[in-house]
Amino acid sequence: MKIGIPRAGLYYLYFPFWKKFFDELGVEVVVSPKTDKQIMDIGLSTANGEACLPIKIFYGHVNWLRANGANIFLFPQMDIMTNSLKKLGEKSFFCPYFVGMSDVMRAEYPEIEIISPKMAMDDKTIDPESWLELADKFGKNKAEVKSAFEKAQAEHVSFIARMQAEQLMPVEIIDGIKINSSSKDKIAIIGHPYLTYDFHASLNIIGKMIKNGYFVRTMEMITESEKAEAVESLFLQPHNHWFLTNEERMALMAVAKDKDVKGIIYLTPFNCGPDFLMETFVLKDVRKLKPITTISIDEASGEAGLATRIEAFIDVLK
Amino acid sequence: MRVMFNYFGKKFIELPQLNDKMLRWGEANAPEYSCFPLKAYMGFFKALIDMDVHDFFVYGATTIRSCRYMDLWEGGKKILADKGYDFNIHYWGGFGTMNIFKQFQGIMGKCSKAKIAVGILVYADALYAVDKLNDEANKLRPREVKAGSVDAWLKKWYEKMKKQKKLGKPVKIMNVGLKDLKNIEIDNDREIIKVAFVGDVFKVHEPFFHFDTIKKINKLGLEARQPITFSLFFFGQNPIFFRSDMVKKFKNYQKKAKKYMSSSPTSYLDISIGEVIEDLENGAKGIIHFQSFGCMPDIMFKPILDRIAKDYNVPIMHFMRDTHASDGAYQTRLEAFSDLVKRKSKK
Repeated sequence: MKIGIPRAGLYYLYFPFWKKFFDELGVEVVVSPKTDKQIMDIGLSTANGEACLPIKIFYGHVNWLRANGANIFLFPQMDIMTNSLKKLGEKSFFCPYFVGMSDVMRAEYPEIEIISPKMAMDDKTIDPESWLELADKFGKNKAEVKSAFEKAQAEHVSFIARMQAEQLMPVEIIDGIKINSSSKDKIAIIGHPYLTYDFHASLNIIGKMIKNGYFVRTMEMITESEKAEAVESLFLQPHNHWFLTNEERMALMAVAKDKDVKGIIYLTPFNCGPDFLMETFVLKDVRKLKPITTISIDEASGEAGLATRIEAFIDVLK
Repeated sequence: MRVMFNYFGKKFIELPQLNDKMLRWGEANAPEYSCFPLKAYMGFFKALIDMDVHDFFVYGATTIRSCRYMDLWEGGKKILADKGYDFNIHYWGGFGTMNIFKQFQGIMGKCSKAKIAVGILVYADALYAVDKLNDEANKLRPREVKAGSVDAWLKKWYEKMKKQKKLGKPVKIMNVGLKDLKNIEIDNDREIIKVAFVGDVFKVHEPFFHFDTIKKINKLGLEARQPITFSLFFFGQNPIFFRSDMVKKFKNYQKKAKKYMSSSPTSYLDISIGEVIEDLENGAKGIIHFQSFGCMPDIMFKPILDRIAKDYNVPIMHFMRDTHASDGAYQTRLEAFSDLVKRKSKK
């Protein structure tokens, strides 16, 4: 039995939790490779043309896994998220693509077997209920699955703590590679993890900034205390409900206040639904504090265009 | 809403008919990645402010989950505030009793909880009555002998309904209106083909949004019901003001949808799927999916509807509505779809 996990979507947020859970149960995990042209092309040709680029790429990874031996697919159902920072409201949600991904994949590929436990979180604590229900599926008893879940939960907490304490990007921890520079000049790249750490889709904007002599701070590296301070200065509507957009808002405000950060690149998939009010609610304010540029990425984005934008932005910073 | 405001004795300005001018204003002033409904709502905001309306009463603003509807009001308000326009938004949403009293007192002024409870019952009464009249019109319109007679009947009883302000009156008016239907000549032998009409909750209730789909297909010899009615939503899931027939219907749709949808990205997708399946089980020969440009739930809904169409072996037409979609192009596609459905149903 091989569990297929696409290296796309929320992989860079939750893979350590998922991997630990299945490792503890003795179930083999197969992960699709990093996005390349072939995976992207398959995604573009199979996904709904109106979806954003990260969803199209997700399709590419699923198709790679279909062709390379995965016989069960993990598409967790993203559910209600609560945040300890009460100003953010009682609950927030992922965009409907991630909430309904398992249903969409069942409709697209009815022949594949899917498991879709819920990812509902109270701050960093994942609701165990639907994970414990997987016991029968893997021929384990409740105690074994409970133990696996608890270890996976601890792994998740430790993963978040490491990113913040050691200022590491999730891709550095998951892939065990060092990417960032040791420069004192910092630049922030804030965006959804499925675009930021997909070096093919994002045209390796992180690598380009490192090559230009900057240490890159990303959203996942923002510490709890920075978030708590940042949230106080945000305009928040009564029903502030996008989980990742809230994270972005806090991160943008936090790096705007970080004196070592010289400038901010706000990276967003073209036509991102949850991010559509970012200019109205945050970027306008951030722009008063620090140079910021928005890079919107879709499948037609090209290296030359991005290079010109980056050069111009670096000139501004200097 | 009007009947409820009549009951509270409050002035109520009906939304103006959405038009191209309003859409253009919304398009020019909404954020770049906005979905079509947000652009339209921005146009509504501006038109109402121009009419000197500064208090908006919004229903359902806390009950829809993963959709930009939740951003719409405060987002729109901030965008307009930045442009120097000012207005207040009063929400009616959620099910907490104390919360609802507070929401109502915010707009209706100081009034007792008993008065508010009766006010909501008046609203529910009118909602049920209006949906029932509309349902009957949708069933009879494709079979009317004299073109326009059903719509004239509907308009007449809508107008009477709008003047009501007492509990029980809307249903009484509805019953008289239904009796009045016998004066309309109907051809029950006419061959009419049923199709499922589906789309997001923001469009399927606004004829300007969906180019009057139901009336258009009626003229082509097809019929469809009004999807996801507000009365189904109100009575089907409200723990206080419920109706057992609607609760049963609501649960039945959720049950039917389970095969295709285990998640709940928004509060209406599973109901939409349940309705489509029910229509197909009752002999619908095709599906018309009316999409909004940029609507995330619609984008994820599309492959699920395609699967349902495959499973039931019926044709499906997706039509994308944006600010540039034209009525003429839609009409042409509907005619082609109607031919396809008719030919397929004869096989």
